[in-house]
Order: sequence, then structure tokens, then C-alpha cells
Amino acid sequence: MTNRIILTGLAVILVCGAFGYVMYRQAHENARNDRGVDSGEAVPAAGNLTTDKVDSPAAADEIADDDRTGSASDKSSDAAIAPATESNGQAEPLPAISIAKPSAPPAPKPLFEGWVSPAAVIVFSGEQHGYIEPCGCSLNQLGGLSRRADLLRQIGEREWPVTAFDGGGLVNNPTRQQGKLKFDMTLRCLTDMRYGAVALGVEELQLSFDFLSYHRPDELPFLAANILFFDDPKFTGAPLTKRVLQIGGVKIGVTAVFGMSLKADAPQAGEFQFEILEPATSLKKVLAELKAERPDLIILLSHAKPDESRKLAETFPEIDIVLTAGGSEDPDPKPKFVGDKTLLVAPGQKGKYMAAVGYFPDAAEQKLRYELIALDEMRFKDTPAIGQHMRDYQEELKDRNLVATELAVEDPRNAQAIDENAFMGAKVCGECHKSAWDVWQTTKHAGATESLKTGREGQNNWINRVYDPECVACHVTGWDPQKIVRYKTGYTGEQATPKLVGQQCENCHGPGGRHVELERQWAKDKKTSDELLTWRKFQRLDKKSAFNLCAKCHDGDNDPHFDSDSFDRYWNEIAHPGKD
Amino acid sequence: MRLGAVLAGIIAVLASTVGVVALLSPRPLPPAKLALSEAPAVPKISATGKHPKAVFEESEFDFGRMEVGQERSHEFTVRNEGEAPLILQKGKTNCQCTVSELETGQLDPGASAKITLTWKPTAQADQFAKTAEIITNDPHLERQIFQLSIKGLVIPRLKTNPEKDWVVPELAEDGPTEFTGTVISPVSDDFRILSLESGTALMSAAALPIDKDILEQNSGLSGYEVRVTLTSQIPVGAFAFPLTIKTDLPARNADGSLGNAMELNVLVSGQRRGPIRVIGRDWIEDRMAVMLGGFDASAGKKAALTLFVRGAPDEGFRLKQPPVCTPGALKVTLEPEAKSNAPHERFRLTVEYPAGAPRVAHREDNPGQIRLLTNHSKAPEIELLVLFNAY
Repeated sequence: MTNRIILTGLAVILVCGAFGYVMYRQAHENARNDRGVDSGEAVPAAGNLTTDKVDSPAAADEIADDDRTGSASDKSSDAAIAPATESNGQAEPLPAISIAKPSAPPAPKPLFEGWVSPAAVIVFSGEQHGYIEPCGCSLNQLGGLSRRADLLRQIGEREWPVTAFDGGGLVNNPTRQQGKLKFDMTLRCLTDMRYGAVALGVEELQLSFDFLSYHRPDELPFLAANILFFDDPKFTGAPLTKRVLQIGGVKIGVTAVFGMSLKADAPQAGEFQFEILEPATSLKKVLAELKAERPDLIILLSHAKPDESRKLAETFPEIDIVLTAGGSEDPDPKPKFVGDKTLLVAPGQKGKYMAAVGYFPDAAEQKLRYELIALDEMRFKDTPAIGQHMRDYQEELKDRNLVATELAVEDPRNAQAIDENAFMGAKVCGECHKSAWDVWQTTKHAGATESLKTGREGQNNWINRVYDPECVACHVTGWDPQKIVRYKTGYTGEQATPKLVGQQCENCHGPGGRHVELERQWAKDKKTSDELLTWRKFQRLDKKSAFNLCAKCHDGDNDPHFDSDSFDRYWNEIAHPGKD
Repeated sequence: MRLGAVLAGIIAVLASTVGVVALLSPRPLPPAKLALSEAPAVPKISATGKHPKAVFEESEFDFGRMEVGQERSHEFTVRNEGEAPLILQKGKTNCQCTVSELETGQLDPGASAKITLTWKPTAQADQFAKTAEIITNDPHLERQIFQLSIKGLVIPRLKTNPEKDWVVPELAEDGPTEFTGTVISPVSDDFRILSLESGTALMSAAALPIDKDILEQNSGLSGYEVRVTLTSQIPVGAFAFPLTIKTDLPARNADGSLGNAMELNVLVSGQRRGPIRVIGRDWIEDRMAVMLGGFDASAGKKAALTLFVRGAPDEGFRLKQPPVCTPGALKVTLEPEAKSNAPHERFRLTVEYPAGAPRVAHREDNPGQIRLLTNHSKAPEIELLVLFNAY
């Protein structure tokens, strides 16, 4: 009898305990849903728990940008919400996303509102400057070749005849091996997108002789009406002076000039001989040739500053559209006309925007309509074919092992350029600076190299870029992050230099070779020399000086949240005071 | 026994109570990352027919010249000229603009408010234009949004030209090579260059007075020409030497104050090449190969390349004998192109596999070859590879 009572009691305890646990877990799930935690499912918005959805996890950072807009002077709305950081000491992982958005947030503007069956759509880009992906690797940036291709695809889906032109300035660092590979990859992407032509810009001239190998007039021609190569107007391999193409039923004549306003930025001609002629004189001749072909539209790709482009438009009113360079990175979305009918378009820089012009030959008033299109992730998706080009490009970087084979330079911070002052690796630093080593291992800096392989949470279809010097420069030890150049004893690969994986001490404190040697000697003989003290001073870094060092990697493109106001928050995540 | 049963019952009841309490009282939420849970809904348009009307005195302001790190603000004034209260909310900005807390989130008809836009540039820009959206309940506005803009240009305290790498276009064969860049300040009219440090015996540098025209073209107040001299001892191949330019011009700190004296680091780079250079779309430089690709042997294939020759003998560059080719069917011709003032001679090099020649493949493992014997003392023999598949 007693045993039965005990057993019954135990069974009741177990059942009630199980019930209590289930209730507890349900309550926890309810709590997570109430604050909109991303578990891969739709997130209900405030005010309507059942129907509204957040578009994507990236929307969290979008709201974060809104939050940041008030960060300097609008503390009140922020005060009630403490941003959770790794230092908050929360017992459980923070939710990936927790947003309650406005019940009906302003939707992005629909594309081509009011456009009805244009005879042709011409899309313009320019001054991409090597930004083949959305303006760096931060979330919610604009641009990228992949989204650009999707824009053209969407226009094609409307069955509108479409073509595209670029104003030049495709790459950054054209004198480096990587610059040349990126240039080649970019041209392949533009060829896939069926661009009609590309103007010759500053960066293209900096490619020097190599440019001539990339110019393929039967695939994607380069245009320049006023550049003479090797004193020979008939030089084989020179860019074309003009092109006429048929888009749908519309005949388009296009030419390009290199402006005198950008001549000072062009490289000095030497062995690679070129001469920039006066644009208006060359243009007069080429326009006469174009007009003889009776095009419906005449387009000028003007690799010049806006004032000069405007003057050319005034001088030659027969030109219908002038694409200009040299404007602001984020251009004015309002259309600008020169005279009665010449449309001046400026798509900005870094490939964040595309300038679209619709041609409506039957319109009573304005035959050209203009729309500046921000290549955002809400309206434009990745294009698999471009993604493949990106993968091929990364494979090429890997095959050529540019991380190890591109030129290396002396670290200018070295007080003495002697072999002993090499990069040693954080583990060696940690032999003496134990607490700093312990802190460093817990920071994101320690996993910086690995993150190049995996990407960030929320970034789908991530392409491994651990062989890309432009990425490696900030994610390893021993590189100049702004010049994208390796220091002589810096990282050359995970297998070759495993001790330099991650963003380590010496990137900020300078290479530690000599300091380590002297300290090891001092540990034995306790003799303090002037040299010992000099190198200790060399390795020292104060918080005020640190900001400028941090900003070399946490720059506007790669970390738009980092500035003097947010610096303390960043600093607190890596602070490791004292020298043990 | 009874006591045990009673205890078991109490425990069971307590366990159930815990679960029920947990269900009814959700756990306190840890602060969410990047949360904006207080975000208001977008203001709705009144259905009564009486609407507000947002009138901004100006929509754009030009800050003119700003320095990197310098913070500037501008107040925009908005007035409600409608018949119903005007609601204003911060919308998106297209970069790191900050929009101050609005003096009031709601304006009665006839009332005014100020909205302050603040911006601190973090990078140089010839021109910038930033926007901030103000969301309203004014039905006259497209998407209920009014856009405020600021523009200007961001000038550096010091700049170099070239801006990035100083690429030396050509190295002299015998003797040193000079290359000149500039260092200019748009903000100071009397900065000094304290030292130029290169760290290599192969390069030296000197600061010289700058031409006034160059200063004016670059909108500078003061500046210098920096003449770099490279020795003839630089070996064949690529080179890159950092040059540190130390000045007495204080930098602008992140908080806007002036800090330590500025140093600029530029990379002087270039390449010493041999006397012969081939270019063309079918030329693979790092393999010294002509790529004819795959083609129908009955149609043949031709590649046109350009050959640049430096340091040719006085009588002009020429071949001592006809090219020797493998396979023998390959035809190679070298014809001079138009003369120019350039320090080299230029030739058109044509490589052809004639139509009707035998089907054959020469790939990476057994490339075709072209051997040229020349009268150039530094390039007496030139060997090119040819890759193709004539099917």
C-alpha cells in the first residue's frame, strides 16, 4: 500500500513536472515571437502580430541605420532600448533580429512609374571604381554587378528594348595584377549584360599597354573620339571613335570623349604613348559622321567633370543624352536638361545607381524620361550568372596566389628596416601579455580570416574570398589595409603563415620582432637598455591614436556605423589595458 | 507514508503552478540587438478631407567646402499651411546623416518647426550630396515623404597627385629615371615638408617649389613638387617602394580638433621591362604565347599582334632570317608600322595557320613555337609559343 502511494506520488510528480516544462518552453517561444526573433520565419510587426512580415533579416540593419540617424542628438528614443552587445553578459544568445517595424513603412518606389511602352530604354553607369559588389561588404549597401544585371533582366521582362553604356572608370588599382583581373571579370559581366559600349576613362588609361589587350571591338567596344595612340589615327587596337547600334526599332549613335577637366588625373604618357586632344574639335568631326547615319538618338559618354560635360552639351545641341562623370557619389534624382532637349545624366559613383532613360518618340512633349535607380536589395536580386563570374574571379585570385606573389613593401612604421623586426604573431605577444591575449581570442578580430570564408549571418550564397587581397588586407596581419599591399613579413596564406591569421596585435602596435628579441634578452639578464625602452615605446598605442588605425579598416564602405560617436562602443569590445 | 504522499502531492501542484505561471507571465526580454521597438507607424492620411500641408522654406543646403572629420549642421524650417495637424517622422538617410530630434512631432496648422541635419564626412569627395527623408501625413507629397538634401565638397587637408600609387611609366635604360608628383594643401597656405623617407638606396626624393598653375588647377593654397629619382640599378621586373612624406601640417582629429603633424605614404611603383613587348587580344603575356584557339582547319585562323621594340640598333630592328616555326605550316610576318616620336619601333606581327593546312593540335603540353633571330643586342633571339587546335 505504501509503495503504491509512493509510486503514485512519483508518477504524479513526473507528469506535472513534464507539464510544467512544456508550459515553460511554450511561454519562452511566445516571448521570442512577441519581440520578433528571427528563427527563419516571418516576423510579425508591431500592431499586427499575424499578417505583417519583415522582408528579410537584413531589414534589421536597415532599421539600425534609421536608428543611427538619431544617434548624435536624439538620445531619447534610443535610451529605452539598450543595444545588446557581447559585453552585456546575456546568458543566452541574442536574437538575430528583433524589430517592430512601422505597420506600413514606406515601400521603395516602384520602377518606371508611369512609363508605358518606351521605344527603347537606355541604362547608364559610370565610375564604378572597382565596386563589383554592393559598396563594400557591409549589409544593406547599394550597387553591385549582380543587381545591375537583374535590373536589365527586369526591363527585358517588360519586353522593352534595352541597352546600356558605361562612362569609364571601371576599376581601382589598375596597375596591380588584381586590378587587371578585376577589369577582365568586369568586362565579361558587362558583355553578358550586352552593354553597347564603354567610354575610356582615367583608370582604363592607367592599364597602359594591357588595356589594348582587353579592347575587343567585336564584343564590347571602348570608345574615345579624342585620344590619339602612338601618333597614329589608324593604330590597330585603338578604341573606336563611335558606334551605331539598333535597339528594337531605335537607331542609336554613340560616341565618347575624355575631358580636359580630368586630364590632370590621367597617367603620364611614356612608353604607352597617348595624347588627349581637345574634345570639342574631335567631337565635331565624329558627330558629323554619326549624323550621316541618321540615328534616332545621339548619345555622348563624357568622361569629364559636370561643368565641362554641360558645356559640350551646349556646344552640340544635336546630342540627345550626355552621360557625365565627376559628380557626387549619390547623385540628384531629378532630371537635368541642357537647353531644350539635351538630357544630362549622372549615375554617381561606385555603381550604386543606374541612370535609366526611356525614349518615347511619340510623346507630345518630353520624348525622354529619366529615372535614377538605386540598386537596393529589396527590388533587385542576385543574378546567378554574375555570381558565377565572381566565383571564377576568386578562383583566379587563388590560382595566381596574389596574396603571396603581389609585391610586398617595408612597413613604414619600422623604426629600423632590419630583418629582426618582423611580424611575430599574437601567440608570441601572449607569452608576456597574457590578459591581452585572453581578451583578443574572444573578439571578432580573432576570427577575421575565417569570416572571409563564411561571410556574415544573413549573407546568402557567400563566395569564399580568403584569397582576395582586397579583403585579406583587413582580415589578416601584416598588410596595409588602405593601400592593399603586403608588408614583407606579413601574411601570405593560412598554410604559409598560420601565425598571422586574424586581425592581430601587430596590425595596430606595429611588427614586434625586435621588441620580442630584446624582451627575451631582458628576461634573462634584466639589463634595461635605451634600445629596449625605445622599442617598448614603439609598440605602445593610446586610445586616441587607435581611432585612426581602426578607421583604416572600419571605413565608410565597410563599416558605416563606425565613427567618433560610436568608437567607445567598439573600443569596449576589444579593450585590453595594461601590459601584464 | 501519508506524509510522503502529501509531500508528493504538494510538489506536483507546485510543478504545475510553475508551468501555468510561466505561461501567463512571459519572461522579461533581454534587450534586443539593434531594436527599434518604439518605432511609430507611418502617419495615416485623414479621411475627413481636412489635410495638413508641409511647406519647407528650402529643401537643399550647400555646405560648401568641408574637411574630413569636420561636423556641420543646418536647420531646415517646416511650416504647416494646411487645415489639420501635420505629423513629422524621421525617415531614411542615404548615408551617415543624422537628423536631430524634431522639436515637435506634430505641428498644428500655422505652426513651424526646425529640423537639423548634421553631417561629418569621413572621406574626401569632389562633390557630395546626401539626403534625409521626412515622413509626413501630408497627402500632397509623393509617398508622404519630403526629402531634405545637403551638398558640398569634402577637401582633404593634404592631397597627392597621383592620388594613389605613383606609377613610373617608363624606366630609362641607361641612367636614372625621374618622376614628379605633387603634395598640395587646399586648407593651409604655408605648410612645410619636413622630410622624405624612402627606405631604399634605389630611390631618392626631393621637394621643390610648385608651379603656380598646377597649384591653381588643384585648388591648392600651397604645395610642393616631389621629384623622385630611381637608379638604373633597379632589376628587371616589378618594383614598389614606399615613400613617406612628413609635413608640419596638423591633422584633423575625429572630434574636430587639430592633432599630430600629418604624414603621407605613397607607393612609387613600376616595372623594368625587356626591350621587346607584344600586345594584342590573342596574346597571353605571362606565358609568352599566342592563343589561336580552336578552329576549322579548312578555314584557318589569323592573329594580329603589335610588337614594340626599344633600344633597337641604328639601322633599325630587323630579323636576321625568316621565322622558324613549329609546326612548319605556321606563317609569321613582321611588318613595320607608322613611325612616331615614341622611343620605340612598332611592328605588326601576324601569326597565321593557313586555310587547308593539316589538322593538328598544339596545346599546353606540346605548344607550337615561333623562333625569331634578330639584330637587337639585348634580344638576339625571341621565342613565342602558339596554342591552337586546328580540327
